[in-house]
Formats: sequence, C-alpha cells, structure tokens
Amino acid sequence: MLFLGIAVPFSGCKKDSKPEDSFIKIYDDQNGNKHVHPLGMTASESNDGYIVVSAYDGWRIQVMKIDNTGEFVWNYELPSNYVNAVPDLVKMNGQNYLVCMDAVGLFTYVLKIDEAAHTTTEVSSFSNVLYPTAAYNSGQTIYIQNYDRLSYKTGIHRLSGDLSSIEQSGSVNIFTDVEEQIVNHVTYIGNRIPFFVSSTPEQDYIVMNGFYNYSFSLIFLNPDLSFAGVYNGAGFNGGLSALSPLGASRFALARFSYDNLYYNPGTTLNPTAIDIAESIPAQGHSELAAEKPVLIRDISISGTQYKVYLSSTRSNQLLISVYDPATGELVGKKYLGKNSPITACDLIQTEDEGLSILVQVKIMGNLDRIGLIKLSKAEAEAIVD
Amino acid sequence: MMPTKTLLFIFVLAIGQLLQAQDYHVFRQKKMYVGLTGGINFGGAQVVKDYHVLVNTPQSSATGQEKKYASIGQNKGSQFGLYFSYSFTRKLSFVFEPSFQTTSFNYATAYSWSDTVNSSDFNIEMMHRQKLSGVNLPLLARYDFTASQFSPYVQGGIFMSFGHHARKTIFYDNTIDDEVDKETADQTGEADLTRHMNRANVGLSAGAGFTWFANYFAISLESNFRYGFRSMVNDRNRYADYTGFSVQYLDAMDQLKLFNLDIQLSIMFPIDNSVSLGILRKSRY
Repeated sequence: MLFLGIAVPFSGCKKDSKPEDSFIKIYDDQNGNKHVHPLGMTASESNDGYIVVSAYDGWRIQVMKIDNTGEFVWNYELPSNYVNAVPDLVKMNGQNYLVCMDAVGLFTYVLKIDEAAHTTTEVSSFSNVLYPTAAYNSGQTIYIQNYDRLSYKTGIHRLSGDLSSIEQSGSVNIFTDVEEQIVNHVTYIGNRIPFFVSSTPEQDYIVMNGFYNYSFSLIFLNPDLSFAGVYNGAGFNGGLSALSPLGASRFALARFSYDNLYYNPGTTLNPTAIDIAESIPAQGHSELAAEKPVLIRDISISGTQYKVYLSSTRSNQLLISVYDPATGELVGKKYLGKNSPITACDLIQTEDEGLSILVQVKIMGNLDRIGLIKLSKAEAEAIVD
Repeated sequence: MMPTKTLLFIFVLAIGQLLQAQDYHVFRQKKMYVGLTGGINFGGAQVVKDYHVLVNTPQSSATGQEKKYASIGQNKGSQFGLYFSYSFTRKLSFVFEPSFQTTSFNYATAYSWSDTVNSSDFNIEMMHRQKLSGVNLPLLARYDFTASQFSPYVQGGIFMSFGHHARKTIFYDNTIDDEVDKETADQTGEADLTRHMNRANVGLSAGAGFTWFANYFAISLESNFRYGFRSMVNDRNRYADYTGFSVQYLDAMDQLKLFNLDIQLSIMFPIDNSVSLGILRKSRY
C-alpha cells in the first residue's frame, strides 16, 4: 500500500491535450535528387486530415493527404503539364481547389482535389491568364492574380461562383522587365516572391502584392478591380512580405528591405495613397530571414483572437510571434527547431485548437522534404502564458 | 571484468565453506540483517507502440524503418545499495534492497536515399544508446529452502523505481550492415534525455540465489528479473526534441516497458540485542 501510495502521484495528471495532439512528421521520399517545396495546406473535405500541396523537381506539383495525427494517407503527383501551383489553396463549398499553370502555354488551370479518387480534376482553364501567381478566397469570391508577359501587366481576375469563368478583371502596368524574376519564382531558382491577394473585412478594397510600375508593390484596388492606391516597393529589394487586414484600414503586416524583415502588427494604411512601402513604420527583427515566407494568421488561443506571425530565422529555426490585434503588443513567442534547417511554409489552426505548421525540412544536410509540426492546444496556450 | 572475478572468488569461497560446514544450522528466526549489495544488470525494452519521425510513403525505400532493439545481453548496467531483511521464521523473511541503479537499452535505425544523378547514394545506420539511472526499491518475500549454513532461496515481490537522470548518445556510420562499431563510428554528444522519460515505475521482481552464513556475517549471490508495468517514455514530450536529435537523426522513441536482469552480491550482518552476535548453532540432528 505504501508503494502504491507513492506511485499514484506519478501516474500522470489530466491535461487538456492528448499526447497525439503534438508531433513532428517528415514525409519520406527515397529519391535523393528530389527537392520538395511545400506550398500550402488546408483541412480536408471531411476534416479527417489535411491536404498539402507541394512543388518538386522545380515546378512540378504533388498533392498529399495526411490524417489528423500526421500519418500519411495518399499522395498524387500531377501530370507534367500541370506546373507552378500557387501557394494558396482555395476552399469553396467544402471542396479544395488549387490554381496552377500549363507547362507549355503558361496559362492558368483551376483543379479540384478529388479526395475520393486520390487525384485532381480540371474545373476550368483560362487561356488569357498567363503566369498565375496567387489565389484568394474572400469568403464570397475567388480571385486569381497573374503576370501577363504579353501586355506587361499584373492582372487580377474575379471568378464566377462555379469557377468556370472570369467575371471581372483588372490590371496594373509594369514598366520594367520582370520576366527573369517571374521565371525564377515559378521554377524555384533563387528566392520566391511573396505574391498575395487579400481584401479588407469591409470588402471595400482588394489588396494585392505584385509588380507595379518599376517595383514590387502593395496595390489597393476598388471592388471593380480598378486601381485605388499603392505602397511602392524599393525596386525588387523592398516591399511587403505578408499582410493581414484588421478592419477600418488597419493591417498587420511584415515588410522586407533587402535582407531585413520588419513587423508591424497594427498599422493604418491609406488605400488611396501613393506612398512607399518602406515608409510604413515597423519593428526590425534582425534574426529573421527576409527571403523566406512570412505568414500572418488569425488564431484563437484560449478564446482570445490573436495575430500570429510565423517566420524563419537566419539560423534555420521557426519563430512564432503572437500579437494582440487591438494593441499590437507582443504577448508571446516560441522558437521551434534545432540543428536541422526548417523553413516556414504554412500555418493553420486545427479543430482541436492546436496549430499545424507546414515546413520544409532539410534532412541529412541535403534532402528537402515536407514536414509537419503540430502543436497541441496546451502548447499553443503556453506561448501566450 | 573485475566484478566477474570477484563473484567467481566469492562463489568458490562459498562452495568451499559449504563443503566444510554442513553441520551447522542458522539461527535466523526474528533476526534482522543489514548489509551492502552491488552487481551488474542487463536491461531490455518491450515495445508497446512504435513511433516515427520519418513517415513512409509509396516513394519510400523498400527497406523498413523499424527500430531494431539490442538483445538483453548487450545492454549493461550496474547497481549498488543497501540490504535489509527480517526473518519471520527460520525460512521466511522479507527483504528490502534499495539501490542506485544504472541501466541501458539500445536500438538501431537505418535509412538510405538513392542519388541517381550523381550516382552517390546516401546511407546512414545509427545505434541509439540510452542510459538511465535512478533509485530502485524492491520489497521481496524470501523463502530459504534450508536453515543450514549454505542456503539456496527464491524471492519475489514488487518494486518501485524513480528515475534520476537519462542520457542519450547516437553512434552512426554510413554503411548499412546491422553493425555500428562504437570505437570507429562517429557519435553525437551525450544529450539529456531525462524529460523524455517517465520518472516512476512499478512492477514485479522475482529471483533466486544462495546465501552462505558465517558466524558474524552472511554473503549472498543472487539474480533477479524485474519487469516494469509502466510505459516509460513520456508521451507528451516525445516530439519535444529536448535532445535535438528528432529531426537531425529522425528519432522518435517508441513507447516502451523496461525489464531488467541483475546479478548481485550482498554482504549482510545480523542485528541483535544479545551480547553474542553469533548466528550459528550446532545442529541437533
């Protein structure tokens, strides 16, 4: 009895999270020449796992499904005519879609991810939309951003509800040669360019990160996709890395200037201004790698909404920074990773109130593979505690 | 090597004394002994559930990623501690042997990737060595088959153990041949594994041995097998990567139950209020 009395206190105590809610998984591929670049992830149709889209062999596309515990379910390597998936997976009516490009014609496809058949099916193709660079679901409408190499414009296109046609298009001029940057971006040579499309909560402006005039800029568009304003980048060496709207013209953003990265979790931008991005006040973070993706997400932790930044450090770790969206105050941060290089690719909140972080992991010093880091609800709460 | 020689010496000494002194029986009833104990042990692990960092896909190597656990004879440790016993009757006693114990268990993993462009495949084979130390508290019922000066016995009971410290080292080479030579292989530094392990364990212990009683002391040589009921890897910290090995060496520990076979030597002294400590009596029969 004495022994049992001593043993009971050590037999574990109940906590909110189960052990299987926290894990690191790396998805193997025996091909030592294969380098995989995870792009984006989203919950599967039936919420029984996640869909991960990745690029490999440059611009080829792979779709993978994993379950909620990170175990592999299936994967599918798309035929070679489908290339250059944009990082943003689009969910509509419970179905997941990806936007990609034709390898020869450089035009845009919308593909539905068919989880039952473990494949993709073509929904539509847009022969006039060359070089797709980003996609976005505003909750009401799907947008596709592209670079039109024939007219030298950054285009944006609003799709119809069934994704079969373009309802409205807009564009802005580019007065400098960006072909090399675009080609390097889609073929994964050198650094990727942080293209994105977003919208204000009031739906009064569409905002996109793309080439405009002579620089890589943050462009505001009216609901009819006409030009409204711009925060010009410093050529190709400065501009926005990520942006998340807060409402009432306030935004959480990350911007880069050469190899430095700056955060501002709550700033006011004028959508009709003609300004420069480097004038936006922001706090520098010299430990962060500016050339790697920065993600800003709305995450609920213990019932409180936060703006969560995920970025990669120069020493190949991940840094999660949690900000109070009302005050812009940093309420917690957490580093992830040791010894092996990992790069942030995507971040979503899971149904169990944990965080799933899609990463590129370099194993054995050379092999770029898909990785998934899952933080449990308790681990997420510990960041802000 | 030294413990083996010492044990052999004691064994020969005990047998010699046994042959000379069979005409004494041991006065043991209601007698308490205290003493010292020490010896070697061999650890082992039983996998309850396996875990991996690297997840197999259809594009994985055909060779599996299962961990191969070393046999019990390859996982050495040692223990030393105190010995307490109280004899209720001439043959039945309770034994309490608190000891500080180090034990180990090892497993091997191997991975390969083919590089068809450069014709330089990459292979790595790793031997993961875990060393655990802590306090072991066995409480045993002992039955002696005789009351003579040389007394074989069996014992069994429960034990509790409390982990104090755990360490891990990985030895690795680039040839997959089911062997990693620790003398020539590269190795990591020794990492602290403590937070990856559960601290407390409880289980059953059973063993056998023999005691040789002299007039003022007794010497025992015994072997015990212990099986712990608790799963010993901390599920909540499995992927916390306190060692820094998780991603770099693709290591996630399986859930395990640990067992242990020890061989130990004890020297005991009788505790008695009487003037004479002598415990031997001339046999009447």
